Amino acid sequence: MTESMKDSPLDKALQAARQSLLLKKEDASETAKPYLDEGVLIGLINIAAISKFDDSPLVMKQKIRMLIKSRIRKEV
Amino acid sequence: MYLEKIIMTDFMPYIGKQEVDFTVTKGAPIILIEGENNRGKSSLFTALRWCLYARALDRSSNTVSNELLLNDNAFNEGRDSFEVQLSFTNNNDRYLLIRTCEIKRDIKGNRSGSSVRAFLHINRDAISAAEIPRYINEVLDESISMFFLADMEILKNYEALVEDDSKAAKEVKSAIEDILGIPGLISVRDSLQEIVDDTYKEIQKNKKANSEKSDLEQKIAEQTSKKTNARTQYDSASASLAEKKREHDDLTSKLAKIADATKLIEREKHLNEKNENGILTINKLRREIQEAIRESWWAPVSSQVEMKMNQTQDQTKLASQRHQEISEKKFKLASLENSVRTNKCSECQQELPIPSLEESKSIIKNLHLEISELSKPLIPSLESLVDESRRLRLFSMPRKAEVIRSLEKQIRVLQNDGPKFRQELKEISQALQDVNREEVKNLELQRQTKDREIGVAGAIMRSESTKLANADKELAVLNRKYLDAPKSPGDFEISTEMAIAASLQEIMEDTVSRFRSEMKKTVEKNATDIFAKLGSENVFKELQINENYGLRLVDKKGQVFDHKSAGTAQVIAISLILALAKSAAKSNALVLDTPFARLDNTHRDNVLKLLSSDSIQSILLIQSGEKISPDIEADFRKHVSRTYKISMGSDPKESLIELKK
Repeated sequence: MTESMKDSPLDKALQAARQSLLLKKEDASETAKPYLDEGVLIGLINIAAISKFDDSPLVMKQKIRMLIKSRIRKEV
Repeated sequence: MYLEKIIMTDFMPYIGKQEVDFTVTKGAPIILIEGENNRGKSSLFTALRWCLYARALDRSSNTVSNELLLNDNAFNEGRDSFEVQLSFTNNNDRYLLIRTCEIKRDIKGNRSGSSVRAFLHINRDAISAAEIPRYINEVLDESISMFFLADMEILKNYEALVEDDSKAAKEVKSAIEDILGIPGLISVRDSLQEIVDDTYKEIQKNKKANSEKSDLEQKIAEQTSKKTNARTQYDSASASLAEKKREHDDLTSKLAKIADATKLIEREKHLNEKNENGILTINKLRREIQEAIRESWWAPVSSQVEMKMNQTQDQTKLASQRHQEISEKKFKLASLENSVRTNKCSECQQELPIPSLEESKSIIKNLHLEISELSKPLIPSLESLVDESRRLRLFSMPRKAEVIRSLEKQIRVLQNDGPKFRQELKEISQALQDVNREEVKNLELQRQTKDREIGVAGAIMRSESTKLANADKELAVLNRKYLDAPKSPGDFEISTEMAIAASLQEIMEDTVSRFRSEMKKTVEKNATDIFAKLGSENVFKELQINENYGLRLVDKKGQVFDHKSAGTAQVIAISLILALAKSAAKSNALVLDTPFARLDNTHRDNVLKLLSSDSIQSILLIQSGEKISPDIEADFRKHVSRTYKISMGSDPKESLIELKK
């Protein structure tokens, strides 16, 4: 088994998200910047991982909104 | 998903109840099931698929009717149902899925329809029939099952399957992406876009609500100011009224102390007024008496007028009677004259006799005389009487004697009161000798003024009170509206949420693209590694994966190699299956139906070696007598937990599956 095979898809998704964050954060709005960190990405990836069969689009949306709101309140 | 056991009852060739134990031990992840061609390997594979998804497929991927799944001999023996039970675990939950099918018979006893029922227990909890597909797809979605319940007869054409833009190609692509977990990320990305849209709408809605609230706040401020003014005015009016009442009370108190004098002054005033009025009345009555006396001189004229009027009435009556008599006589005269002229009776129309004719003529003569007498004018004439009455009426006056008597009586009454008043006034005057009349008068005047002022102040206070009540009412309405107005979360939070969601959406867009690319590389690398391990040739560099997850063999020179070999196609398909199994977001058991059909000995040995070295639960349905190289057989057998053999039963339509010792 090669090194890459040891990585789970979740890890790979998180790695991809980290790279995207590095690339896109500079262009993000000043309002959003303080909240764009690995914590939010991990939250999103977790939602994506368990959403496949469990969640309707509405539930997924609610979960993501809760995640964002909790981050805003934590920051405030 | 980890498979534990399957029990089949009268399913396809498996007559009666037959079971296979799929549990494996550590280090021995393989279950081997051997059978001759057309003995029931694919039927076992079909039983697994039918139990999970209520659908059986033939080798051409066409759906097989349920009616055909009941064993022929069982049907002929009168049994009308078949059943498959599957036990498995998933994420530490134990599943027991039972699917049964009742076959209907027509009049001739032929199969004519079916009805399927399913039961699912998860950790002994029963799941409703409607929910079963959702739970099963959660464990292993049907769309991705082709890579875990892999019929190599179907997958041998994998390359052709993903070649074009057909529906099947899209389904395969979607299934692979499902296995890799890409749809979850896509859902998150799409949800973020929806959140951006939703929050934008919420911000617009809040702007409107905030504007309405702001208007209400302004109105409330205005109304509160009005209320404060009204309150100030009311308090001021109330204080003024209280002050005036207090002053009034003071005056009343002072006046009370000199109440007797006040009463006497009042009485004196009253008596004086009454006395003066009496004198004035007497003078007036005296003038009226003098007038009446003067007028009484005309009394005789009045009696003459009265006489003349009576005479006029008599004459009028007489003239009327005479006029009536003349009319009657004229009528009679006309009738008689007509009878004399025609010589016939006017009533019976018969000829008159001579004596009657003469008599009639005599009557006519008399009537003429009477009418002439009645027509003479009256003396005195009616016209002259009327004229005289009119002339005398100008001098007519009522009789005054009685009037004068009445007036004289009133004067006497008034003259009698005078001395009484004067006596009382004298007494009052003596009683008030020591009283300061001016002071009493002033106090009384002041009290009257205060009375008026209290009236005005009371009116002002009532007006201000009404204004205050109206302001209160209006304010209560506005406050209620304000409280009922939709509450909007802070703009800061929503706009921040929108900004974050928008940025995360962009990040996830990029992430999906990166992840897809990364997973493709992973699958490509894994498939290449596996292909290298399975192959004997050393001429291939890698397996490349394209947009549709189609695999291309690339040689050492980097050229795509068109192999045209069924065996190579099968090796590529197996490489893909194993690569996906290793790259999958969730681990699943592998069931491979006839994986070695087109493989040479070397490739077959390599597949067995690869499966032996891995920990994935693998159920291999292989042909009996499949030769395994002596070099690897001993090692391979160590990795096999159990071997089953499928053999013919008492009839060619029956198969038995038994544990091989």
